[in-house]
Amino acid sequence: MKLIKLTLLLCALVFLTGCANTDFSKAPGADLSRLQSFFVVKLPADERGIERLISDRLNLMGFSSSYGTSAPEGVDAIVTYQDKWMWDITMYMIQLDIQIRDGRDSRVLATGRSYRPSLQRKTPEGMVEEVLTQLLRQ
Amino acid sequence: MKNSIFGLLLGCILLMSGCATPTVPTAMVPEVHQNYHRSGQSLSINVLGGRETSATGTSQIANDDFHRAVAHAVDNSAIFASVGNYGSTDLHLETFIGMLQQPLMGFNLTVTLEVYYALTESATGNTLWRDTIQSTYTATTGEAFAGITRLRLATEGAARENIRQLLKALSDLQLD
Repeated sequence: MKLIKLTLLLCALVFLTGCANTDFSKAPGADLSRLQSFFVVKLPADERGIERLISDRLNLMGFSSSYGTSAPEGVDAIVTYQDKWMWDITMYMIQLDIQIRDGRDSRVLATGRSYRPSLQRKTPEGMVEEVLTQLLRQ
Repeated sequence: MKNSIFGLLLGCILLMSGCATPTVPTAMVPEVHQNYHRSGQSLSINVLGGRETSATGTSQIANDDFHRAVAHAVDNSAIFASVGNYGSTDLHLETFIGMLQQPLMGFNLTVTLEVYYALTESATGNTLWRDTIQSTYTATTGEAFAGITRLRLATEGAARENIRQLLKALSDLQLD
């Protein structure tokens, strides 16, 4: 009986922990170094203000950034994102995907992801920083 | 002793049933129902932006798997004379998986896939066509009971639809 409990506990641990990882990829020929102005498009379902966190981080990194529901003309890049949340004692962000798109035609220039299971969780600000740093310092 | 074996077996079943599996290339190939315009030129394909699937994550589309699916679909459609390696063909298709949006859970799982394609002449590098294709697919509980399987089916479905639209766009170019 003890062993069953131990095995089940082990299984639960495996699923709770997983492995945190971050990754990014850039479209062929995309030149991210020319991007100076950004607009972060708010995800309609997002009620946690992730668009503001992304925009604030971009400003901190020395770029010009604003956010809202529809992108104005003339920005170098449009930023879109998808956040996923889970509950484990408290709610936490388990995954954040960010796409940097060309301001002219909206095509994806680069994409990055941070995945952090419960025991390796970070704040949303931390995950935003993690993804943007790897995307824009390539 | 019996209890120990049962416990281990239960643990293994739990682990195995919950593991994500990668998308299958053949499941991403759309059926060819129409006659496409045929070009006498050869095509090479490169795919970037895909991700490997980890057992504790969700089903992803790996670069190699999407490459195989696109190559297989182009072959089936006969739009191009042949599919070859980069540098040895008339045309080159650059493919970038820009966004794969998957739900975390739910009954009907809808996946959205966004892929950027650029077709260039190998000799000159001139771009003949480029576009972003967005596709979605919803997998229902009728297709698979296990959520992790349903998500893989939805991902494969979105890829299949994306490649179907690609074939139509390539055919519409009416290349010689």
